[in-house]
Formats: sequence, structure tokens, C-alpha cells
Amino acid sequence: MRALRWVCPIPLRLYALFHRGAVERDLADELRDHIEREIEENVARGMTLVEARRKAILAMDGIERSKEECREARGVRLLEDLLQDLHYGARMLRKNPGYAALAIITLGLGIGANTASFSVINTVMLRPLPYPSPDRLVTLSEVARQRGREESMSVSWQDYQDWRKQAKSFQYLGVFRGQNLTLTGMEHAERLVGAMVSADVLNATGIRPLLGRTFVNEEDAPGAAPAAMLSERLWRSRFAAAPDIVNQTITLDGKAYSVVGVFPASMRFPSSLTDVWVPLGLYVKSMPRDRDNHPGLGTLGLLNPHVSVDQARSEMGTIARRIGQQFPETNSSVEVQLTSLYENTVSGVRKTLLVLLGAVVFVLLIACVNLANMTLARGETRVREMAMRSALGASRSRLLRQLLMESSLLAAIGGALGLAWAWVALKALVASRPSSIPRVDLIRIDIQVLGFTCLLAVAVALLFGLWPALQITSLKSRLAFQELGTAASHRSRLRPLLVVAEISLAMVLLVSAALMLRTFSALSHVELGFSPEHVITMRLNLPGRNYSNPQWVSFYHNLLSRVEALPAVQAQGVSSSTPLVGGGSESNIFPDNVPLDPTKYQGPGCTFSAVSSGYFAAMGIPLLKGRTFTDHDSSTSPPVIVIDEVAARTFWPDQNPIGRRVAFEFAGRTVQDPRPVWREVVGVVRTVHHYDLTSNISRVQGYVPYAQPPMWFQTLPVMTLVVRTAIPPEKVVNSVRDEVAALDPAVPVFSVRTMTEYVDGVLEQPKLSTGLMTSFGTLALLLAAVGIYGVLSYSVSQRTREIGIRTALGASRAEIMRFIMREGARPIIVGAIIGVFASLASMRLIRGLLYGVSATDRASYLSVLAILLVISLIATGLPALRAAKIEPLDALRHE
Amino acid sequence: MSKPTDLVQGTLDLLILKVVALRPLNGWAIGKRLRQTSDDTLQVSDGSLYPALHKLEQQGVLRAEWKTTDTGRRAKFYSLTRLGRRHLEKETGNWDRISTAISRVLRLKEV
Repeated sequence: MRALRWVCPIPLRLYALFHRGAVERDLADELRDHIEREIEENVARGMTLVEARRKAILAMDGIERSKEECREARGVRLLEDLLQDLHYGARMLRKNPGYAALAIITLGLGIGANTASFSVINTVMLRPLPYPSPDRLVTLSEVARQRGREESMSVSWQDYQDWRKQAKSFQYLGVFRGQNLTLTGMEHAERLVGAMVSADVLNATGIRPLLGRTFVNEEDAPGAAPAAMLSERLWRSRFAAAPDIVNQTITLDGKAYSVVGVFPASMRFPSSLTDVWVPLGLYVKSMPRDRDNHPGLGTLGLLNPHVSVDQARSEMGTIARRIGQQFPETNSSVEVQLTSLYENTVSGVRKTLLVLLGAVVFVLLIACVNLANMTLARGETRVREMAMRSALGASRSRLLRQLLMESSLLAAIGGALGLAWAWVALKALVASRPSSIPRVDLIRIDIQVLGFTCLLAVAVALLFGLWPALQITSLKSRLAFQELGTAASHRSRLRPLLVVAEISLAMVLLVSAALMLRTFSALSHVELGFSPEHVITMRLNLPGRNYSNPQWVSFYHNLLSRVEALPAVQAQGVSSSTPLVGGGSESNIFPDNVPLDPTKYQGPGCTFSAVSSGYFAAMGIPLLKGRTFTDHDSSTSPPVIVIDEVAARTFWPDQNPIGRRVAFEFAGRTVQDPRPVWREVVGVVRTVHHYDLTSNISRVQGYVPYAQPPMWFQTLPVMTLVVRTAIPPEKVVNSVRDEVAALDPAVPVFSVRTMTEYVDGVLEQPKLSTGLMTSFGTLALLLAAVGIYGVLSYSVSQRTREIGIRTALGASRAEIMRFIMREGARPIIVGAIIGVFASLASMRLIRGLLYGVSATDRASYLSVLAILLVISLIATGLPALRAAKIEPLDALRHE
Repeated sequence: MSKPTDLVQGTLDLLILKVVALRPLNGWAIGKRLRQTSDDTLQVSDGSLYPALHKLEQQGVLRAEWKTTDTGRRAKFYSLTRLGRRHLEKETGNWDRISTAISRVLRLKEV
């Protein structure tokens, strides 16, 4: 029955929709027929014709109204009305281009910012990692926990061997290490970003090769025939996408490798830049035998199905404790840290992204509040129109629908504009390739983002359209026409509430922006410990087979004297590691005044660099005490070391460190017979920010002459050449390259970057978030100002008559201005107070992003309040000025 | 826009169906018949009669066609469809049950 009732009317409805004219005529005829009959009857009862007619129409409650109700009863109205509303809405917007433009731009900015943020978050955080079983991939590292301090370490080769034997949670468990390789035997040598990986690392990722196969276990073993896998990019760019690449031989670091496969571009492990993979098994012989050596290995595991991350974590905890009991000297305080690969990828940016998302949501909210405000103001002037339409028979739902249609139209256009804007912004973001955002190159506007934008536009239309529409349409029912003016001004008392909301939202954003600006400024002014300006660095890798230990020392010695002779070079040096590049060599270090017992080591870790004598001058690291190295500090002279100020203070407080001794290398293999290699401290230098700008330096730093490298550097290290110049440092690169080629053309020069670039790299993420937050804050402030201005000037125009009377009664212009500004100030003050508390409450969320400034920094709050004050003065002053200029006579003529 | 309805919601529909069930009538006659048969107790305003007629036509319980009356005038006549007849039977049954029940309750006396 119910179904029938639904189905039966359909033909009639369709008929009505497509034959509107006929249906309308039919309706008119029917009602006219009725009226005529009624009149006849009334006349027959003895009424006059006029009276009879009036009675008949009255009984009908008005003909037009009856018609409207009949139309509604026919139920085709909805679709028809929608089209009509759309038409009407578009006409209204065309007639108010100022309002429409302002609304569309405001919405476009709000929706655009949200769309862009959502695309970033969708790609970086929501989309699963591009592996077949992303949820089961975990990374493992080791942590040394001493005296409440935690130091993250790479994985010890010996520990890893035990993990593999004991752990049951993993389907695959493998290790990897970044290993850049030089491709030769083609027209020009190329330094490739490469990785040595266990076969199981590739199995764990589960990515199928484009061509060929991945490594088999036999290839991942010492003494196996060298095999390599290529990236799609390398295969296309250097091998012209040769289909027969598999089984061809390529030369990497002077050794022949057989290509076994090509990975598709979706292979992004260990990094999206990796171009070549070689089996780690080939290098097993070079892996350290001592358990406390953590040679930069990372570990990737694929959990067995149905094993949770927590289960695996507790198993690894047990294994780590067992190893600790077995080898207390090295492992008593070493724990395993197991994190999902997703967590590992995302944890660095999550906080920033969420804070920014919060900020853009605030911007959108302010935009909505503002629009609601504007719509309401405009609606109040339209009360007359609404009252008229309602008297002509439009129902409230009909009026609501029409107003909502107008806001939907605005939201749709604003959404389209926002989408365009987001597209441009994302393109710029992706083009700038910020290294701090993982998977940034994959960010794009896809179907999910489109869906998000549509939803957002709908939500926005409701948010800023529904409330004003309800307000406006509820007015008219109890309004007689002459009451319109007073009723409208009565309603406008609600609107200051919107200003309060706007101001407090804007305040939160502005405070965040101010704190981020202070953070950025603090970061930019961090005492680096070196001076980055006019310094160029480049890395050099000597082919191992040609260079034994004395030979590489003399190579660099020769190179340095050649570089010194170049014009405009002020200082030059080499070092095994440079600041802010990432990575470094770490060890325990024993000063001469503590017992030499490695099992009870309580001291700080030490970051080591092997450097030439000129390195300190080239990098601009100030010498505080003693001397730096000279050419006399050679392999045959007594071992020496330069330490940083923190080491000096930690080891020998209030004593002269020069002439004291430290040890960090041991010729003996046992605790009973450590045979330490003592080095004499010859100098103290300024502490350098080696890893990043923000962490408190708990470690100490040590520099040794490269002619006396630490024992673990006996195998040839990659050295960085550091050159300080009087001219822009990029200009010397080519001549330095020429000098290297003159010494040995087979030596690749790579990673050519200025120190300023490294500093900028570290500042990139804070710079990005500060920039975005500041622009969002400014946007919010502007929107809020427009809001204040709108409310006040509307109020002034509504009260022209009142102001005129006040003037006529003797109020001075200053008094009028004060009067209007006081009215404007009230919601602003309330909003600011709420804003301060809201900021204080929400600052807990961004505390993690702050540096060098407290989340309750008084100066930031005060300056935001000051800015707010100035903007408010302007936004309230302009309408007040206009009010003061109102002439009493004009005011009386008003309306 | 409240309609002055003196009738219980939905009852107007039932009355219309019943009046039309006897023979096809035009809108004016339906209103008149309703007033007459109820001795002017049921005041159906013409303003709510026509929307109700159009709604019932939409629902498929009434059929409308233009006919010429005995006096030679054209008018729109409403008649019951098969669906309408079934609907009327069912609703009449409902009405009887409810009104009997209500009457019983109202005739309750203290014991």
C-alpha cells in the first residue's frame, strides 16, 4: 500500500513537471469554477454581487494561497522550486556583486587552505605505506639507557645475529645501510644513492620487481658473485630502459656487479632516492666483531600474520634482556626499540601537520562566522522582501530553501575557487620538495581530496547559511510592515556574539603565529659554534683498492695545498663529518681521572671527527684554549686530540684541560687488558651544533688529526672538503673539481653544498610552519576586522535616525564617535579575553613545536593584543567616523 | 500559516473519499455535501479542501476528469479509484474501531 502510494503518483508528477502550463490552467479553471458557483449561491441567498464575491474569496483563504497549497500538495514543487531558487539565487548574487565577491573570496581562501592541508595529511599520514602489508612492517633500533638518559643507536651486527636466531615474531627480518656507490664504465661516472640490504629486507617490503627478480639468499652471503638491483629511474635514465638489462654487468666502485632486477618507482625503501641495491651479505667480512659497535645498520622486519606490534615488542624486550645477561659488559643497558614503519615515517611531521590542520580549520570557522554575519546583515535588509513573499503564499520552508540555495551557490563557487587555489599551493609545495615531509612528491588532488572539498563546501553552506536563514525567516511571521526597522535592530543584538567568536578564534591563531615567529627567530639565532657563511663543502670518495692508509692521507694533503693556492680561498680543510649533515661517529670516551672500566661507563657519548689542521679555520670553529693541529701531528708523532668546551667542563671542571689525556680506543680485546690508546688534549674549541639546532647537547665532541685517525677509521672514510672563500663560495667549485681531477680523475666529487644550505635545511620545517601559521593568522585577523567593520557599519546605518536625533539634541561629534566605538569595543574586549584563555588552553598542543620561547610568553600575548587593538581601532573607527558625520536633517529624511 | 482545521488530522480525507464514493462530484459540491450531511457541524474551509483533493489525486485514490454537468457547465469531477475504494474500506474500519473505543472510554462511569 505504502509502496503503491509512492509509485502511483509518479506518472502524474511527471506529467505535472513537464506540462506545467496545462496543470496550472487546470488549477486556475477549477478554482474559478468553484468561486463562480459559490457566488451564484451567495447571490441566490440574497447577497449583493460584490458581497457574494468577497465571501467566496474569503472562504477560500485567498485564491493565490490556495493555489500555492495545491501546488505543494502535488509534490512536484521540490525539483521545480530548486531550479527556480537556483535561478533566483544567481540573480540575487549578480545584483550584489560586492557581497558575492567578498563571500566567494573568503570561502575560497578558507576551503582552499583546508583542501591543501587535507591533501598533505591524506598523502603523508592517512594513505597506507605503499607496501603489500604496510601494517606488519616494523623498524628496530637499539637504545642505551644510562642514568635516565636515552641514546638511540643503530643496530649492532652481533646483536642482529642473535635477533635473527631467537626472534619468532618475524616472517622476514633484515638489515640495511645506506651505501653510496660510484657507477663507472659509462660515458661519465655517477655517484649513486645506494643501499646494502639483506635479501630479507627486500622480501619484507614485498615489492615485486619490474624486471628480473630480487636477491636470493645465496647472493646475500660473503663471497657470493656480486649482484645489484636498479631503480626504475636509473634504468630509464642511464640504461635507456633496455629490456635486456637483467644479467648485464655494471661497474660499481670499480667492481663488476650483475644486474638481477629493476624495482618500480613505487619502491621507496630505504629512501625514495635510492637508485641501486646491493646484497649486504657481500660486506659481512667488514662488519665489526665487537658487540658494542653499532655500525649504522637499520633493521626492517615483516611481522608474522596475526603477530601484533606489541607482541613483537615484548618478545624483542625479552631477547634484549637475555643478551644483556649474556654480555653484561656491552649490553647491560641496551634495549630494543621496535616501531611500526608507519610510525617511524610519520612521527617527525605529525605534530606540525595536525597543528596546521587545526589552524586552517580555525580560518574556515572564522570565514563561516564572517559570512553568517554578512548574510545576516544582508538578510535583515531583506526582511521586507521575505515578508512580501510570505504574504504572497511562500511557506517558511520555501523561503529557507531559497536562502540556503543562495549560500550553497556561494559555497559551490567558493569551493571551486578553493580547489584551484589548493592546486596552485600544492604544486608550489611539491616543487619546493621540502625534505622534512615524507612522500611529498606524491601529494596531489585525487578523488578523496575532491570528495573532502565537496563535503566541506556543503558543510560550509549549512554552517553559514542555515542560521541566518532561520533568523531571517522567523522574523517575518510576527512582523507588520511598519515594524520592520525596529525588529531588525533588535535582532542585530545577536550579531556581536559572532564578533566575539571571530575575535577569540583569530586571537588563538595569532598567538600561535607569534610564538612560532619567536621560535623561528630563536632558531635562526642559535649559536651554531661555527660560521656557515662563505663556506662550501663537498664530499670525496677515494676508490679503496688504490689507496692504502698513508696514501689517502697524502692525497688529501696534496689536495689541500692545491686548494690553498686557488684565488679567493681563505681557509680549507677536510673532516670525516661536518655539522648538520646528519650522521656522525660516536664512541665512549674516558678522561684520565676516572677508572678505566668500560662496563661501568657513566660518561657522555663523544662525537668524533678526523680533521686536517685547517678544518677549524675553514668551518669557523673558534679555538678557545691551546692549539689546533699542525702538520707535525702525523702517524708517527704522539696521539693528540682537540675537545670541545663541554668536554673540558665535564671532565676537568675548574682545571686546565690542556695536557690532560683521554682514551676511547683500546688495543686489547678484554676488560682485564684494555690497553687504552691515550691521547693528549692539545686544544679546546667551541661546541658545535652537530646533529640539529634544538636538542640540548648532552654529548661531547672530539677532533683527532686525520693522520692519526681512530682505529675504526683505518678503513678509508669518506671525507668532506671544506673551503672558506672571500667570494660567493659556489664560484670555486669548478676549480676545486679540476684540482681533484688533476690528482686522480677517478675520484668522484659529490654532495656539493654550502654550509648555509645545510643550515637552511635544518630550518626548513620550522620556516614552513611559521610561514603558514603567520599567513593563517593574518588571514584570520583580516577576516575578523572585516567582521567588526561590517557589524558596526550596519548598526550605524540602521540607527541613522537615532544618531541624527542625538546630534540634534546637542551630542557632539566626539560623543557620537565614542558612543559608536564603545558599542563596537564590547564584543572585541570579550572576544579578546576569551581568546587569551583559549590560547592558553590550546598552546599545550603546539608546545612541542616551540623552541626558545615559553608557551605562555608574555611578550607574544601582549603584541598580539596590541595588533588586535590597532586593527579594532581602525575597524570601529571608520564606522564611528561615518556616524559622526551624519547631519541631523539628513537623518530625519532617512527612510 | 496554520490552517483552521476543525477536523481531526486525516479525517477530512476519509470524509472526502466517502462523499465521492457515492457518486463523482466536483470540488464545490463536495464541500457543500460535507456541510449539508453533517448539518453544518463539519466546517470544511474551501482553502483546505482543494489542497486535500489534489493530494488525494496525487496519491492515486481519487481520479479527476473534466465533465459537462446536467446544467451544461464544465467542471472537474472527482471519483474514487480502485485503490481509493480499498483505502476507504480500510480507513472506515479503522475509524469505527477507534470511535467505538473512544466512545466507550468517554461513557465510563464510576463504579
